[in-house]
Amino acid sequence: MKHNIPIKRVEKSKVEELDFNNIPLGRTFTDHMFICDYENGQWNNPRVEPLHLIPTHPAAMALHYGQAIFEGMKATVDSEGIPMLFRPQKNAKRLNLSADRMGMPHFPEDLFVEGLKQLVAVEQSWIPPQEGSALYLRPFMYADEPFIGMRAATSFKFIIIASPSGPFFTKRIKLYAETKYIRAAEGGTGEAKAAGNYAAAIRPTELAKAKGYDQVLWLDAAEHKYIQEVGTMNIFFKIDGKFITPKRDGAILDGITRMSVIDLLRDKGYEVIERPITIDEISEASKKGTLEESFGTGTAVGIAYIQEIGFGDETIHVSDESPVGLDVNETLNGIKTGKIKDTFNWMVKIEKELA
Amino acid sequence: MSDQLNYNMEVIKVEKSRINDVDFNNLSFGKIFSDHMLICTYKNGAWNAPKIVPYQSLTLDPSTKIFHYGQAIFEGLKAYKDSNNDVFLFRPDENCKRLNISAKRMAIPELPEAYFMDGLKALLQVDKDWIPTQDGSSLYVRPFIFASGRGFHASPSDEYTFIIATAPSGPYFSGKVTVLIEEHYSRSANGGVGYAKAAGNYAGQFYPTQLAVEKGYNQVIWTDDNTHEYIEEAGAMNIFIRINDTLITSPTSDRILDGVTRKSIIDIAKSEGIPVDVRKITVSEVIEAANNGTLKEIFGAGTAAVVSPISGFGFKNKDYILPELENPYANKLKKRITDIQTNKAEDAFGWRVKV
Repeated sequence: MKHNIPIKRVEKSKVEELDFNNIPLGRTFTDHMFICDYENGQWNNPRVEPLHLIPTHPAAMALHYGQAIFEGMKATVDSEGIPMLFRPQKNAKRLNLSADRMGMPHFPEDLFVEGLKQLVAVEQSWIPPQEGSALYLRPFMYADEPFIGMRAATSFKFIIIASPSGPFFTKRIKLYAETKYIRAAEGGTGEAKAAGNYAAAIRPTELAKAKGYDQVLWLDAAEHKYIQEVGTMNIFFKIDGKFITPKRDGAILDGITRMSVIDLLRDKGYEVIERPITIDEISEASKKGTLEESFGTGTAVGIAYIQEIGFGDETIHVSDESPVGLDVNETLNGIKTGKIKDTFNWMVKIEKELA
Repeated sequence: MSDQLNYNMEVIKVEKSRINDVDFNNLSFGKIFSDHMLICTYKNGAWNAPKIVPYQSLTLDPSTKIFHYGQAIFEGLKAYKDSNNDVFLFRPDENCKRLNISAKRMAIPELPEAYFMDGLKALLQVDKDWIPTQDGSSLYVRPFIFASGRGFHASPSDEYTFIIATAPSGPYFSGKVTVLIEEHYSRSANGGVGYAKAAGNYAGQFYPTQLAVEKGYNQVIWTDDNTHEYIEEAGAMNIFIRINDTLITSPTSDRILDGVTRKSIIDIAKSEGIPVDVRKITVSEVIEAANNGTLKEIFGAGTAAVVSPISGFGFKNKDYILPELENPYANKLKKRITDIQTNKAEDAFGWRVKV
C-alpha cells in the first residue's frame, strides 16, 4: 500500500552548522521528524514536519507509567551517495512485538518503512559519509493520553527522529557480571524494547562504571547464573573454535545485529550455537584456555570487543585481540556502505528523488 | 479562595478558574485536573525552587529522555476537606520518603523534602476549592519526576522535572472486584525495580491486565517471577488475605511496594485486636483455604482504591467465590482509615496532617 505522507520542509537547513568530522554523540538532531497520531482506534495523519517541540499534557501516561517503546537503526550511504537502510522490516516487526507486550497498538509495517524512507530522503545530506558513521534513526511510540489510572492508554504518538553519529571508538571493554541487580525476568518485559527496561538499568550501569567497568553483563533473574546480555547489546563467545550466544528465552532482546552476525559467522564457516550459557562455563573456558574471544552486538556500536569480565572476586580474562569480531565488523560495515556485496539482501536502497 | 500563602513561593494564578465546569457529584477517577500545578526543575546539578503555575501543557522535544528510556517515578496521595473547610493530608511524609527511595534506584537526584512538603501544601491552598467533600471523593494528588534532558543515551539525564498535579476524583473501583492470579507474566524480580514507584513497572502490567479483563476479571494478583507460587501484590494495591480470623499480607521486598495504605491497615487492624501475620503466603494455601471454607476475605489496600474487597478470584481456569460476610474486616478497616483521613475520627496514630 502506498501511503500519502505530506512533507513540510524547514526554510533553512541546519546541516551546514555540523562538523561531520566531529559529531557530538547523540546530541545533534536533523531538521525534520516523521510523526503520526493514534486516536479512536487508528493511526492518522502521517507526515514529515520540521523538528518541533511536542505539547504534552502533564498527565500524559508515558510520563507516569512508562508506556513507551522504541527502535534503533541506521541509514548509511554507498559509494555513489545512495542512502540505504539496514533490514528496516525487522525493526518494524520488532516494534509491533514490543507493542503487543506493552499493551500498545501495532504501527503498520509498510507505513513504518515508508515513513523511514521519506524522512531519510529528506535528510540525506545529514548522513555522514565516513566508514563506521551513519544517520542514527530513532522510531518510538508513547502514550500521550492524559489519564491517571492503571490501564493501557487509548491515544499514542509514533515519531521518528534522526541524529548523525560518528564512528564509535572501538576500545576493548571490561564487563561487570551483575549478581545483585537484574535487567529482566521471565514473564517480564525484557524481550520488548520498552522504555522502562532501560531506566532500570541506569543505576546498576553507573555502579559498574564507578568500579572501573564499561558495561554490565546481565545474568538471569532467578539464579544469577545464566548470561543474558551486555549493556544494551547481545553477546557472543568463541570457545574451542565454535561460537555460542544465549538462546532467546523471553528475557533477551531479539537483536537485529545479533541475527545478522549469526548469519555472517555461519557464512564465514563457523558453527554458531544458541543455547543457555552460564557465567561459570565462561570462567572455566578462560582457565582452560579455550575461550578465544567474545563480543557484544548492537545497532549503536556494531561490534564491541570484550577484554575481560569481573565476576565476584574473579577476573575472567577473555582475550587481548578479537580477530573474528573485527572481521565480522568489517564485513557488516562493508555491506552497509556497499563495498561488500550484499548477498543476504539486507540493504534497502532509498530513491534519492523520492521526496 | 484565600490568597494568603503560608509558604513563600512564586505563584502564577489562572485568569479564570475552570472549576464551574466540573460536576463534583459525578467525578470519575483521574480525568479532570485542577487549575494549578507545582513545577520544579533540576538543572546544572541542583533542584531549582518550585513554583505554582496554571495547569498547562509541557512542551517537550522529541528527544526528551522520558519518551525513550522511561526514567520516571511517581507518588500518589489524597487530600481531604472536612465540614469546617479544613484540608488534610494522610501521612505525606511517607510519600516524600518513598519518592526519594524510588529516585535512588532509578538514578534520579533526590528531591529536597521541603520542596515536596511545602510545595504540596502551597498548591493545596491555591486549589483548595477543588477538593471534593462528597463521600468517597477526594483530591487525588500526583507528584512525579521525569527525565526532561535530551539525548540518545540510556544514562542519567542532565535535567529532570518534578510536578505535582491534582485531580478531583471519585472512587477508583465501582462495584465488585474480581482478580486473576497470574501464572505466566511477572511484575518484578529480585534485583529489579518492583519496590520503586518506577514508571515502567506500571506499563509492564497493562497487557497482562488486559488479558485478565478479557477473561472477565478486573485486576491481576501478581505472583513471584521465579515459581509463581507466592502471592505478591495487585498492580495498584497490596493484598490482604483473611484465613479464619487472621489477616495475612506478604512482607515488602525488592519486588513488593511498601504501600502507605498497607502499613496503615496493618496498624489499624492490630489496634482493633485483629491478628495480623506478615508473611509469605502461597497460592496453594489460599486455594486450600477456599476449598475448606477457612478463606473469609481478600482485599486490596492502596491510595487510589483505599480498601477494595475482592469478591472472587480465578486461578488455573477455575473460579473461587469469596463468602459474603455480615461484618467483614474490609468494611471496618476502610471506615477506620477513611474516618481518620477525613477528620471524622480521633487520629491516635498521628497520621493526619492539617494543611
